[in-house]
Amino acid sequence: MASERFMIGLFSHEDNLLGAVRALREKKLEITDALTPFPVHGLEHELGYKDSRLHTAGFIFGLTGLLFALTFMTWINTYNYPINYGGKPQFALPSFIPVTFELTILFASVGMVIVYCVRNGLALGRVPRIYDDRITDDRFALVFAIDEKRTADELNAIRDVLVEHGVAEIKAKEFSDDDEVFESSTIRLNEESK
Amino acid sequence: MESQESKIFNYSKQAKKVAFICMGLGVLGIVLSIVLPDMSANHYSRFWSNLLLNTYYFAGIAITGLFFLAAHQLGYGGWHVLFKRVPLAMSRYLFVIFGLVVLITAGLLLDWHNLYGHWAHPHEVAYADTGMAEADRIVVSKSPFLNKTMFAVIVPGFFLMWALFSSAFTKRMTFIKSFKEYNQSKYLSALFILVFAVSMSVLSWMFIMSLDPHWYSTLFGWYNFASYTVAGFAFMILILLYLKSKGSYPHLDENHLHDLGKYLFGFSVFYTYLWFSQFLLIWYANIPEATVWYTKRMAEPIFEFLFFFTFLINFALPLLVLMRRDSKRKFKVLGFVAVMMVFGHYLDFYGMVMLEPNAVVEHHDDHHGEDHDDHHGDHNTDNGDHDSEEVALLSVAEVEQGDDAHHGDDGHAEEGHTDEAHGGDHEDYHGEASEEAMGHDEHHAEDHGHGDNHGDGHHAEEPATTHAGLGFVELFIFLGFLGSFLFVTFRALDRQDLENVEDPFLKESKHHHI
Repeated sequence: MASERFMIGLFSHEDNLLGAVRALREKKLEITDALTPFPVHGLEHELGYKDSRLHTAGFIFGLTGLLFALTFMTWINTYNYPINYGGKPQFALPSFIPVTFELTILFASVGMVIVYCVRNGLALGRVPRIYDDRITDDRFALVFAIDEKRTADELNAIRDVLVEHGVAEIKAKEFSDDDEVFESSTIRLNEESK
Repeated sequence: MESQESKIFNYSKQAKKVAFICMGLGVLGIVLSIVLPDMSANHYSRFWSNLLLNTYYFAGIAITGLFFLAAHQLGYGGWHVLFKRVPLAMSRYLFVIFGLVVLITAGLLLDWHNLYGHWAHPHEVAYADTGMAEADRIVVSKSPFLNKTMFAVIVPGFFLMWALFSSAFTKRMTFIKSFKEYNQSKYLSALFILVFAVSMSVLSWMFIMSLDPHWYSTLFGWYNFASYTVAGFAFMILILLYLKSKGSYPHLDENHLHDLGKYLFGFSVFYTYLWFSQFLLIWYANIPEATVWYTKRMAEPIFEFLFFFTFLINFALPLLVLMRRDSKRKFKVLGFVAVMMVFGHYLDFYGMVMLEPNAVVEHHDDHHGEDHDDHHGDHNTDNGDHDSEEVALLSVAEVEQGDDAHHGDDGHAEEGHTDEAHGGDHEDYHGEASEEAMGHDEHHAEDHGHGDNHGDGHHAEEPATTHAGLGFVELFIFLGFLGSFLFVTFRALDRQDLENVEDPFLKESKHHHI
């Protein structure tokens, strides 16, 4: 039975979170995730995230749609079932363009939605991991995975940094993922809050 | 970041010199277009059509500045106020434009040029149904709108209105000290948008589309608008990049240019959408009176090349280059695309304007070439159904060949007269045969032209030749306009602290972040 443990630092102000992120990145301590109730400007830069490659996926999907539409219509109109429409040539490219345009957009948009959902773990029926109920309300969370790569020293260093930057609460949470249901147990590491 | 001080912009002597050299070349171009041996054809049409082309193109670029401001003011935009001096300065050129428009109008009234010869001097056409020569019916049917008086009132009137709007905007919008003034400027913007929406359409009909009054496209106004708006944004980007490099805009960064790049990208796609919509409908319907605009251009190698080249340069290039986020944020890439847009859309307008006035018209051959269209138009308005076209085609055929054969004959179809009208009826037609429908149409036009005058004999190997060319004359005159445009723009900005525009949204604009 696999189970994953996380240490979660909860902040009550985004500036504290940004300061902690900066300090942690300086000390090369790995941050697993950051969760905020609203978009915090500049957070993605502080976390050192690269630009999303979602639009590259969108371009490829769009190109697929374009080629699909063009080849499919060409095949039908010139080979599979050629009909003369108003004396136009069989390969009447201008009349293919509107359909090609629509299919390009359809493929790109639907493909991007699917890729987005898959990459963000939003597939249908999937139970999301809720690190803390309040992260959609008034708490800003930093999440650190506790696994074999993470030493006890590192965890202590992280905790020190969080406390230094005015963390409101630090807690640990464990998820076990057999039978698609997550059981969670909360272990309080630190009760002191500011 | 906060402590960056903006420098007073000084229009340097060097930059002035460049503008003056450009203007000098422009004068040289004008002199060349008058002095060179074969330029005197058709009332110096090459000079006048170049003047018309550049006037219209730069009017579009100048008015884009006002459109940009009005649209943002109405849309509660705040990010642009940092550099709102630049679009305002661009619009100052509308006063120069007004002068040139008055010149062109005077030329029309006093017969200095023959740009609008099709309707200003309508000629007689032999009609089949009466068997007599009478005034060109299409021109006559449009004459309540398309006549010299209307032109002399509407065209300079609208351009004067644009110029006055430029004054009003400069007065009201350069310094907006309070939210009250901000809200008042919304009324001016709304009024401008209303006037602009009507005037830009009407001007595109009167000024450009009436070069060939036999043809019309309902999309033409929008198509023109999209084209010069792209060019206008390209100019705005280039001027901002220049001012930024001179240190006048320390707070202007890649975020602002990213947004302008989005406009460049978006309007390029919008332009292509209209470009293609106009073509697709005409191609699909394949009605001679509509296809004539394209067939004339396809008959001239240079215009045929431009037709596809502008598509490539105005659509494929910005689409593929500006699609990436990074390329909109890199000044060099954005600047390169903007330069290409400036030339791409100049060439687009070149294709619209230059062919018509420069066509060989000594014997009015090209007018006769459209005779058959006239019948279409007339009968369509009378009956509005398909049969009338067949009758019209038949009647043309009678005049031309003295032939009483029934329409719809296979013999006729081969000659292309009935291709368009009957294409759908002939079940045995397949792609290869009907593919040339457009080609036939074009021959068709030629045939009639000579058919009226000389009977049979001349045939399709003779396309409507033109004096239009892309040579030094065009380049110099374009440079002359460019130089004067930049001169007027930078003169309006000279010795000013460009970032110091009082506005409730200035702070937001300085910290624009996307």
